Amino acid sequence: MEKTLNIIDIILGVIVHLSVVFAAFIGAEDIYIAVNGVREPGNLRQLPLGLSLFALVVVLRVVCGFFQAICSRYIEKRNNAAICITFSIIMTALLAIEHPVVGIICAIAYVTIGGMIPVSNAMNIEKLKESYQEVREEGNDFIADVAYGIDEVLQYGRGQDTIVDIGKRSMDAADAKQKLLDHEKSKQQLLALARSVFTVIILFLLLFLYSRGKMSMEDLFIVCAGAVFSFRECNLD
Amino acid sequence: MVKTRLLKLMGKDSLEVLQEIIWQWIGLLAQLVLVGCIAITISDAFYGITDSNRIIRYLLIAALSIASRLIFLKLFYDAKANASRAVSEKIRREIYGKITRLGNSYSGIITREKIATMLTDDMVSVEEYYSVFLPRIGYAILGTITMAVMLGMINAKVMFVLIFAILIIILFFVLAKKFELIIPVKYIIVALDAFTFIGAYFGYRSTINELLVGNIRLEWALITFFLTLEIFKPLRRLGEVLENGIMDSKKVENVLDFLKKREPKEGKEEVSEEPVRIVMDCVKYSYDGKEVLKSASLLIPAGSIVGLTGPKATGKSTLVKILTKENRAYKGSVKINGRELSGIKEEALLKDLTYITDESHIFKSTVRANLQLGNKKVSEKKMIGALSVVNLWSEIKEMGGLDLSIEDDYVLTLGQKRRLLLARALLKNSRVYVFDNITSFIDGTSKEIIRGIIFKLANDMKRTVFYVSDEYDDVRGADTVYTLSEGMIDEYGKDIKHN
Repeated sequence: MEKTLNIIDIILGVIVHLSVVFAAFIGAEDIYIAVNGVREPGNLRQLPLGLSLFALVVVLRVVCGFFQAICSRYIEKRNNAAICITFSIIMTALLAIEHPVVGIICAIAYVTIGGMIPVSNAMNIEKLKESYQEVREEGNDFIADVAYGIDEVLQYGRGQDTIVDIGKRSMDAADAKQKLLDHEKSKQQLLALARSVFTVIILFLLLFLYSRGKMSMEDLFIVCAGAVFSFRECNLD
Repeated sequence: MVKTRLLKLMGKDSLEVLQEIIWQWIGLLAQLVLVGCIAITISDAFYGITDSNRIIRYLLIAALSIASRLIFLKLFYDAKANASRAVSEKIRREIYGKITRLGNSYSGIITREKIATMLTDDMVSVEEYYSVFLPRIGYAILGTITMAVMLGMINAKVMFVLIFAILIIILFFVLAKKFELIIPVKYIIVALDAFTFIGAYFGYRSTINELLVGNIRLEWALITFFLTLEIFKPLRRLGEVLENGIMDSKKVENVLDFLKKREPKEGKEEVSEEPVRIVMDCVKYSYDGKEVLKSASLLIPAGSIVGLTGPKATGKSTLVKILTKENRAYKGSVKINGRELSGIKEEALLKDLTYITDESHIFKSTVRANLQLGNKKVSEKKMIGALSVVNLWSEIKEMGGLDLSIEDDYVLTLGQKRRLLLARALLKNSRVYVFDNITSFIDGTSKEIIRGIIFKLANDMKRTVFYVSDEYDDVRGADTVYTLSEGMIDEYGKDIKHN
């Protein structure tokens, strides 16, 4: 049962992520058709279909998201890694159909954004989390002990000394938390950098391919929107 | 949802929260600039504009926006860490300061267990509320308004459609808070995603229509399309923490309510220098309307030992708590060297009075640290001397000496712990000692040692001693023994007949 639920969770998760990219694909294509309406008025007939498809994707996303939320109640651990890997493989294949180089660049982007950065971060963060927990627990033990002995602190006139001690323990915990946040900061900076840089790389690659006549303007629209939104969807959080 | 009291309490430090919001917001602007650059570059390609200078210019702007996004991301995390640090330090200080100002009367307001929870577990909630939830509320408002305004500049229709969706989300948040709906975060996200995509659908439809009638250019259409998908992101980020935020805000409120509690009016008088004499006259005390002490009158002459005994729950500990200023709302009169207790400063009283009860605490530290609580500047020789008086030094020495860690509860027996409490009290060297059931539940040897010292304090060292015990045998031999029954002094004398 658990195995089946995990598979369902992965399928729903992949659909949820893909629906965003498909919405971007449809939106970009329709924008192209609309803006190109003067040049190719015949294509405008496709617009109602695009609107319906977009609506369908929206419904699909909402429904799958809802069922995934229900499903996650019955499984022990989220399948984020499996969802991310499956999503990346599908996206790489879809984009590689447009042009193999685009597929390769996107594959590198997915490995970097969804794999290398979070995995390297996770390796170090466990130690930091442990050390933070340790410092926090130690501090809390001390503070709780002081709270239970508050009568003694008051009658022996040690209120001020204790405030200083509590302040010190709070600072120790804050220092440990700072290290954790610094780590999270590095991860988020790297992710933002990687997403932005790969977006710019893809854009210029597509422009290059378009200028060389190896890609149509319509495909440029679709691939660019799809790639940009797929970089955002590819995450382990 | 926003506890302005907390922000006021944090004073200047609350700027960290504002910084978190601003840095996140500037990061969003940088991201929008990048989107604009991409949209313009695609638009240029579509319209066949091939100006390399223009491309380089937009590439540079894009690079700058990426760099600034990273910088502001760093500043955001720094502000978050600072906010978290500031709030835990400040609120802990405030709580502890409040307890110190309340003095022994704190126990009428809050239990020690609740103080411990407030200073530890609740502090995590306060930190999260202050450094995560509050900035997200701010960012949700500022970020959403910014994107709505930008959308409005491009396409007013889309903006109105999305503002309608935003208002529904805000209403959802307000209702969730009002009725304290603890909705699991995943369902909040599903609901927000539904709004995001439904809003995006209408935004997308409107964009296509505007493009068809030629009201907007391609680059603006692309930016609009991006904004319609992004406009809900700040609210989504708020939604991610809504469940915890609502729970945390309740804990924050508890802390703030405690900090608002009225502090007792403190007396100004000191205890006069002469040997301490205590007179209690017709003392009454009620807990929650129930009169526990009906009328207790007793005299504790200077340098003598007075015992108080009687069945359990007859008001003996209540009397001790009146004397230590824990129970302040007493009726009748309690005079120390002729001065009414309510007019004496608690700090001054506790300088001259030491009390040990069966609930007195030994800190999870070393023997040395516990003894130093009694007297900060005490020498090692005096510590050993005090331990020797209570017949504990040889045992402690065997176990590791003054630096013996007593963090684990089982290191010392209850009898040893009570003797350690007594040694600590002796080091304080005060003029009055009050003991409440200090010999209950302990072994015979410890009991005899402790009794011996209590009597020695009065007989040899001429301290004023008030010795309270459930058992008559404990106080037998005191200069005067009072018995308390149903809140009233039953009988008293040197050798009273005891049933």
